Amino acid sequence: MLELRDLVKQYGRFTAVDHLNLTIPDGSIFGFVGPNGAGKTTTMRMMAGLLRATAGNILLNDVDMTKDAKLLRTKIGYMPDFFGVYDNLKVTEYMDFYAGTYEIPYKERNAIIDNLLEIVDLSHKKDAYVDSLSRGMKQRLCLARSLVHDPDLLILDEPASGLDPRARVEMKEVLKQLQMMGKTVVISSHILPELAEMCTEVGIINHGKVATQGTVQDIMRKLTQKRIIHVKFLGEAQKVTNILQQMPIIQNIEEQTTDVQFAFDGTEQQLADVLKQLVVADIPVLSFQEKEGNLEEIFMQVTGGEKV
Amino acid sequence: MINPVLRREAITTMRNWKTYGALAIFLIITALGVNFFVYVSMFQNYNLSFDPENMVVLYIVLASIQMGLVMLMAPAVAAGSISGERERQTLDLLLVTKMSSFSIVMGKLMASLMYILLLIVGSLPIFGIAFYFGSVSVLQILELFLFVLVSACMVGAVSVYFSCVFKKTITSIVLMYLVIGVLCFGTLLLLGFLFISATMTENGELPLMASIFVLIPNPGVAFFSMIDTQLGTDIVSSVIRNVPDASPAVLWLASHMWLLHMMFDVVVIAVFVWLSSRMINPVRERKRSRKK
Repeated sequence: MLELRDLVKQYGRFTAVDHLNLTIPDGSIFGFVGPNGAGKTTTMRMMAGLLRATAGNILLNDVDMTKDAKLLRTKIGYMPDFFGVYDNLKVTEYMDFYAGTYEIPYKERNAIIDNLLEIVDLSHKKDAYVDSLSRGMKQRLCLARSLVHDPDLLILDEPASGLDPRARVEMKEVLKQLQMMGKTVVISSHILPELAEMCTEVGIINHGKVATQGTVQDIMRKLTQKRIIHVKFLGEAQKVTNILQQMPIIQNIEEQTTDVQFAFDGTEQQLADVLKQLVVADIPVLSFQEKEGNLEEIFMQVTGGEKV
Repeated sequence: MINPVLRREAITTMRNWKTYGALAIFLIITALGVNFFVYVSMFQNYNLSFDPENMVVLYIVLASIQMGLVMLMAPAVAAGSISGERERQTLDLLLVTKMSSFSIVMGKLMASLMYILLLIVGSLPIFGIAFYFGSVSVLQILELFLFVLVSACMVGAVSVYFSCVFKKTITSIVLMYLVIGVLCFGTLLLLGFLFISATMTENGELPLMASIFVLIPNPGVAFFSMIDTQLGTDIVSSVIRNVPDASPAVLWLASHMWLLHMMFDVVVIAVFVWLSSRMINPVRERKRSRKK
């Protein structure tokens, strides 16, 4: 488990990160969201050992990493938002170079490199020069590089930025694979709906502080105090609306041609009763589901309307 | 295990056409210098022959060209070592690895020296001409190479430090050339100024030790001193002999300026490698004065 306790970073009088507290459980994909200048990259750079915190602690499995930068580097893999590659270097040589920087013995390197290139789907490019790869491939190669020393925690600063939709999907697949491997992944992104799909938990940061943390649904519930239910059916919407209006736990009914959306403030049993009443009233219900939280809306609410 | 930075630099440098271009230019200039000298000394006489004693001058010409070119090329090679990583946005990727800042700096410095060594080894066949005519011994040539390499290492270490401090490679290169200029000509100007100031005093003489101290950092003087010692021309000694009241120890130091300069280089290398390591360490401790 990664814990950030009262983390502070000051540049002169400017406080970039202000007593930030965050807990990231093992094996989760944690989304780090915030407007520009909120302190995301600064926090990530401190987590990666690239910046010294002015105050506070970074605890990885209860070990304080701020006191041992070398240990921190063996436990953490980092991919920055902007990075370059070396000219005149082949993919395997690039990976071999970073394996060397982590003191991995020569005889073990080939197997590690082959395995990582397979994970990021670059095995077919192993003899290509890194500067000839597309941006998406470079991103995946950089991800493979950050895994070369088998870190417990991966910090990815905007891994999907500048990627085309296909490359984003590929990146998402790789991240899911990493989660299955038991890695804890921290991602920052400006593509908020994508982050909601990808992450098990999100933390919204604003003015250097964590405004809220939890699953998208939890945050949604915390902020709206209600769940949004979406019902799709055959027939007239008016009939459905009339049934729903009789229930006090239902509010804000929005009627459309073949579907209805409403805010629900009750228990799971009460929600099941709502569906039962619709079915008993002979409404041909096609779907009855809780609407996924819209991270963008949450984000705007938490950050006071500051756009990313 | 070979330093990973040195290993990578070796691969990428040897795959770059600029490496061979610079090597070719270095060798062409050196070879042209030698050819010009041989032509002037052999074919400008009434009878087409040459005096073997002239070959000593050939060695001086060759050594001077090599020293001059290395001093010109070392900043260009080393001054982009860290700023180049920064410009390419690869420095952060390097700093998050297990490699210490010291290892990174040493890898960069060794890579620059490796390149200089390539130039020196490449020029060996041309030095063979001077050696063939018997003007110098193998030991003397090796001594010269060691001197050139240590001087290049000093220039490289300071250049690496500049590349840690300044964002742009070109700034580091220009600044390093300025430093070399100050070392070569600034120290001579300072000595001249001190000499004139001393003549205005009651004593009227500048102590020899003061002159030695001012000239120790000067690579040109050290180079001249080494060639002077190697060839036994004793120009430095004959000048020193005219200095009154100099102790034998001071006289010995004055006639071995190149040794003193190499010691100075070693100290400069150690200091600047340490400073560079500190400079790129992202989480280095900074002493703060805390009011209690």
